[in-house]
Amino acid sequence: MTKRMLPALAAGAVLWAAGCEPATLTEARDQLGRNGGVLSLELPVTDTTYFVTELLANGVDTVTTATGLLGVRVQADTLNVFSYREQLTTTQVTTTVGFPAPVFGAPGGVQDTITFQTPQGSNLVSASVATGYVVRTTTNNTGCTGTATATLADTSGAVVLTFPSVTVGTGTTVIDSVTAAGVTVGALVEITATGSVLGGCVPAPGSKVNSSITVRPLTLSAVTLDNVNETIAVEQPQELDAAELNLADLEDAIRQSTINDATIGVTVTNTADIPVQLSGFFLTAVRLDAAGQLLRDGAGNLIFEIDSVTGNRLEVAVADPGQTTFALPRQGSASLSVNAAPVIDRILDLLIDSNRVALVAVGNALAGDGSLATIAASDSVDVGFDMVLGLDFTIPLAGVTIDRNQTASGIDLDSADADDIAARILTASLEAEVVNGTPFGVELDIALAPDSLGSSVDVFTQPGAILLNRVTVNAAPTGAGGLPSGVTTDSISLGLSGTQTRVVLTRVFTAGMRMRLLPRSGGGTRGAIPPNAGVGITASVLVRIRQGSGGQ
Amino acid sequence: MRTRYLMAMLCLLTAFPLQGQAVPDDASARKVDAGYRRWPGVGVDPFRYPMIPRWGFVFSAGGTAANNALNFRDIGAVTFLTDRSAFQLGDAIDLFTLVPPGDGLRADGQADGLAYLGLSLGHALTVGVSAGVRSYNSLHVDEEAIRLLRDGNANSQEFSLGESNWTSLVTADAGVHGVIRFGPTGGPDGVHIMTGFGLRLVRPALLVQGRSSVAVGGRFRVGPDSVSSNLGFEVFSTVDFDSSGSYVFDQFTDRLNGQMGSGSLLADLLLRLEWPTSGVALEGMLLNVGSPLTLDRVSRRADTLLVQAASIDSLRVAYDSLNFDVRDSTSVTVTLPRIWRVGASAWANAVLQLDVAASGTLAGDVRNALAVDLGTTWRFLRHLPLRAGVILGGNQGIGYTGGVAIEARNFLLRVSGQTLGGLFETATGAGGRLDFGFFF
Repeated sequence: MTKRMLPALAAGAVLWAAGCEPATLTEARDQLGRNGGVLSLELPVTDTTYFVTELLANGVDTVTTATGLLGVRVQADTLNVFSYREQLTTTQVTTTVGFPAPVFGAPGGVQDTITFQTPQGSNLVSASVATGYVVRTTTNNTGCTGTATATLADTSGAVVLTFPSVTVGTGTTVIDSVTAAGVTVGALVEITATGSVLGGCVPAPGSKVNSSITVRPLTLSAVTLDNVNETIAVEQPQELDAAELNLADLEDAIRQSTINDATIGVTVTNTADIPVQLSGFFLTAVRLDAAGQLLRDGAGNLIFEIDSVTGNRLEVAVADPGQTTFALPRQGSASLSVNAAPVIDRILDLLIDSNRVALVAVGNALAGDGSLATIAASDSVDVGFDMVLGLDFTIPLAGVTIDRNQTASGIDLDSADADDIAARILTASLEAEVVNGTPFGVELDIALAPDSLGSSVDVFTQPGAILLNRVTVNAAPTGAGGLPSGVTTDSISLGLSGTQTRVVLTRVFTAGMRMRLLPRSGGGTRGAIPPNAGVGITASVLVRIRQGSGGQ
Repeated sequence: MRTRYLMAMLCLLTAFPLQGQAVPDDASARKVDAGYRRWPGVGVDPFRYPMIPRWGFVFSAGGTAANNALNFRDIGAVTFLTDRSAFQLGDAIDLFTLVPPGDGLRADGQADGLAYLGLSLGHALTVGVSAGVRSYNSLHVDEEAIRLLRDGNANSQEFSLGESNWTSLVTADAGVHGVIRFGPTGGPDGVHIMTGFGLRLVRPALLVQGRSSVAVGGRFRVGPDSVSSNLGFEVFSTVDFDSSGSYVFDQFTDRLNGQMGSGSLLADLLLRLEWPTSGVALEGMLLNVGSPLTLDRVSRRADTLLVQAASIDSLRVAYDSLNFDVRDSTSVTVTLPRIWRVGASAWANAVLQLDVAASGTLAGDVRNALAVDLGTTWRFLRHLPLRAGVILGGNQGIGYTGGVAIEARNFLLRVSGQTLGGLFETATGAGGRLDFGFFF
């Protein structure tokens, strides 16, 4: 009963109200807005300190530099200087042993040796074969059919490899082979060949059976040498990937300013049980051509990047303090950190401008110190480099311009409501107090446009975009090295008309910002940013909304 | 002391007759039943029919509803816009300007429907039994809660829910009411004393009640530098929604049967002093005297809006996360409005009767503001009275009332209507009652 009464009562009320309905939308709105007035709201927007670290895009790897500045890890990678695998191969060696007719079939056969070449001045102690094989070529001109066998033994006499017995007819040649994988040999390999005549045949005088033992090039898994001193020339590039820079808005600042603080942390690792000494070793930048090849002059020499002021090659020497060499212990590593601002500045400029560039390790590596050393094929010498950019810039007097598009969420009104509210807003203003703790001032132009626009879109020229008045924030005072020595406080007032607010009433809009970093007025153009540098903003928005046909 | 004073006044009134006959012999008011001489009004009045000293039965339904902000043209405008999907945020902003400054938004309403069977035991005693439903509703959005959206925060940055509350209650009533008549005392011009009493068994059937869950309405501050909120809301409801979104009454039948809480036995009292030959009457009535109603296993939905932030956006995020899921079930106690009414009538005229009555509530979860009815009854034909009057006060200011009736010895048909807070389209409330009955 009651359940039915309620809708009936409601329907009655609606019917009565329907009898009082206006004829038009305008009449209806005039009715509701008959009292009029102005709704003034002053709302807090933010009271936050935005640290420079937070202003950098997500994914930027920030660190504190050795000089105490906020730093950005530009790129960290490993460059392979050389791998011993390339060194552990043998050249082909052939030794022929003959069986003269008188001794053919004699017990014990004949013997000879195989000797491998080693780095100059060194002696082979032992070598383990990873891959490779040994070929035997047997030729019989004795006039009799016979059999032949061969064995290879190390210096201790232990047989390391055996050829099977083969039957060789007179006037014929038989070729067979056995694998040498897994064999360990010493400085010499001793060959023992034997044979016998079949069927009581008597070989012709002066005839003989020849067996040629050819050791094909072997790949060694490890080698032990004595008295090794091997110098290896190094020229190894590592292309730097612009996509991994991840500098976000800093790219504009870097392109237009001079970097004062950048380091390359170098860690050289030697996994072999042999000491290595790098000599005349440096890291430098060399551009790559479209095919990814290092640029070279007509003589085949690398074209290094040159300091435009000094004309010197831009390089980072890898050397112990006060030395021209850099010592690496056996199975160990050594590190150094080098101020490399000019090199990194050039590299970043090249990468930001879409050039291909490689970090190249150039120099010599002396492996060994004259003592016994064991090297495995997997051993290598690698250079790990860690490029860190300290945020210490010298910017031009005219400043550094940074363009940025930022998509933001609006108040999310539908189109009709947004039009209505925009028409009702008499005035809107953003009042802010900005406490700047960075050594740079900011001159900011902002344009707002509806929808989410890409980063490459010029919001300032978009149809329907609104341009806000320029905002200027002064730089904090700076001390030695461009470090901030205090803060600067500015008050900002940004007025908006109702029409200008229309864009922020929608669901999403894009703010295009042209930000010009400025040096402190009357101060130096150098600014260094400590890790805790930031900008504090306390802002509120004051909006006056017309109610009904209320006042202006 | 006050009681003694009132008793003394009552003795004086009943001990001495007023001056001699003042009512013309042919005055219609003199010839109708005393029950018809009472200003019928539109509101709740359990003695409306027992005051008629006859056997009979009556069906009656009526109610009033009013607010202090929107008139019928406003409601029509909102309906017009919403029907066309054209109601905009700006229109909502305009609506707040219609709430008059000072008292916040108030709305109230009462309705009842009943069947009455009367038994008259001579002229001295009439007893009637009745059964029906009643609805009590009130909404108050505190001025402190309205100000932010109506006036902004330029002048004041502190807001509160204050005493904001909303109660809708439906009860099932069954009762017995009697009127005992004495007099005239001290001669034919003496006073006629009519005392009414009644008992009603009232059972709550439906309740929706919302209020602040934080003491004194909590606090809400929005300034240029920060926003803070310590607000809490809770809604007690026996109405739920099923999966299709339709409302269902939770255990409605069980509640009517008294299995989901206790009903109350409430008393209604009436005292009327009438000097028929002088054409004067005084009356006082007090309704709903008794203990509160208790509803068990009422769903409680609640959440809090706790914010301490430097950005208005934090408030938006907190608001979006509000969740009014059912928290628990609880027992709710509701005190019905203790309604009082005092009035006086004068009919020393051939056709005209004048009435004045003031009414209000003494206590209860549903309250009505003090209202004064000034009424006239014109009996150009004895059984066809025409009634017109004004209503002052309430939540809506001035209102108008009118009605027409057939008030015969054996038949009653009475139609009454009110526009409150204005006339017709400009009214902010309305009321009406239809009485239909037979007497023997």
